[in-house]
Amino acid sequence: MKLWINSALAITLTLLQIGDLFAQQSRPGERRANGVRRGVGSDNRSGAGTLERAGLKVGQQMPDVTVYDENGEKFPLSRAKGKHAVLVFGCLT
Amino acid sequence: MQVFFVYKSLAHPEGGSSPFVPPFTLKERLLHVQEAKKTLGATVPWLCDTINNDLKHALGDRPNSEFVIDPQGKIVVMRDWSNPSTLRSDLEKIVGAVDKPTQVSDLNLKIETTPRPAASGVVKRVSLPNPGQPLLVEAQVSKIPYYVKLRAEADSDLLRSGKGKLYLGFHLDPIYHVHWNNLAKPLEWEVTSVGAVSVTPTKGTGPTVETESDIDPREFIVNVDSERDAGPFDVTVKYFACSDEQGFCIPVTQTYSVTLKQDRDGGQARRSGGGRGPGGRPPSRRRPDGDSPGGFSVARLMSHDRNKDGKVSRDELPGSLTRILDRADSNNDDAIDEKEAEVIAARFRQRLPRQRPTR
Repeated sequence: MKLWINSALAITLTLLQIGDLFAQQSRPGERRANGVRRGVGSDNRSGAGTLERAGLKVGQQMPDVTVYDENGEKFPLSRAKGKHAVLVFGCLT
Repeated sequence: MQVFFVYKSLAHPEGGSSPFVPPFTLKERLLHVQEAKKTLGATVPWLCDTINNDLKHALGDRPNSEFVIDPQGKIVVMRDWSNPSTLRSDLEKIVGAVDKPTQVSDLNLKIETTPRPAASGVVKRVSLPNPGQPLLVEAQVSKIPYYVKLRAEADSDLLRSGKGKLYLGFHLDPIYHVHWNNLAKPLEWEVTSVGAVSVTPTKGTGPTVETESDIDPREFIVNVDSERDAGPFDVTVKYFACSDEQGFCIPVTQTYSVTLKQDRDGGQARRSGGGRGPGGRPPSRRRPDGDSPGGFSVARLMSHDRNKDGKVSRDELPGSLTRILDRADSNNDDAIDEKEAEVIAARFRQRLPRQRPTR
C-alpha cells in the first residue's frame, strides 16, 4: 500500500508541476516554490476559505453525486467508500 | 488509498497550448478526458463530472480544488487550490510516511502535445473591448458532431440593460481534429429566430483566407437590443469541416439557441487581439471610471450587481471572479461594494505589494 501511495503522490505532484495542462494558469498572489504553485492569502494548513464560504465543512459527508469513469460508465461517489480517497479537480485549460 | 482526477468544465476556454472549447455533451467531455489522459501521460484514474457540472457545484465551484475523503465518505481535508506538497503532508499524517518518497524523475511519463491539423494565426482575432461574460448556448440536435462550437459572450452593458455588444465566436473543436477548408465557401451565419431580441447585423460571413486550411476561430461582434427577460434567439451556421485524418470534407449546417443569461460554468476565455495593442497586450493608458490597465474595471465588476443593492455578492459573481471577492472583501460581508472594488483597482494601478501569508 505504501508503494501505491508513493506512486499516487508522485503522479499527483507530476500533474501539478506540469501545471499548464491541468491547473489554473494564474491564481491570486501566486508564487512558486521549487516549481510548485503555492496559494498566497490561503493558509497552507487548510487553504479552504472559499470552500468554507461555499458551505463545505471538514467532517461533512461527501455529496451523493454520480459522475462517470473515463469509459463513460456511471460512478456513484459512494463507490469510493472503503478506502481513503483523493479527488483533484482540473481541466485542459 | 485511491486517487482520482476529476475532469470538470473548462475554466479558461481557448487557454493553454490548445484551443479547447467547452463540450456540449458528456460524450465530448469524455473525449476531453481521453485527451487529458494522453497529453499528461499519467496513470491516475479519471472521473468525469456530469455535463451539468453537478459535482463541481456540490463541491464549491472551484477550478482546481482538492479533497481527501475518509473510508466512511467524510471530507477530512479540503483545499481551494491543489497543493501537492501539502497534500503529501496530509496523507503522511493520515496513512503514514514512506521511507523513500517517489519523485517525479522516478516516473517515465510520456507527455504528448495535442497536434494541430492545420495552420493557426492566419486570421486576425476579434474580441469585445473588455472581457465578456459567457452566455447560455444550447446546440440543437444534429446528426453530425458539432465540429464547430459557438461561444457567445456579452459585454457588461448587454447583460445589465439588454442593449450592448455580443461576441459570436465559431471555434473548431480540437477533439475532432478538423480544419477549415478555405478553398470552399467561407463560414456563414445568420440569426434565424429573434423573438424579442434585435440583432444587428443579422448575418455574417467569415473572411476569405489565402492559406488553404487553418484552425482559427471565425469571430464576429454584433449589436443587440433586447427586452428584459427576452427568450432565446437562434443562430444558424453553415461551414465546411474537413479532416485529413479521417478523409472527409463535408458541408455542415447547425443551429444554436442563445439566451442572454450568463453561463456560470462557461469559464473566462483569455484571448488576444481585437481592440488591443500589438502583440495582444492592452494599450498602456489610464482608463476612466476607476478602470486600470491590465483590464480591471470597477464599472464592469459592479455591473454584476443584479439586485441593485450597491454591492456584488458571491452569488452574483461569475465563478471565475470569486477570487477577486476573496481579496477585496475587507469587511467580510461576502460581497464587494464599490469602495472595496476601488481599492483593488488602485492596487492594479499602483502595483501595490500583495499581502504575504503568515507562517
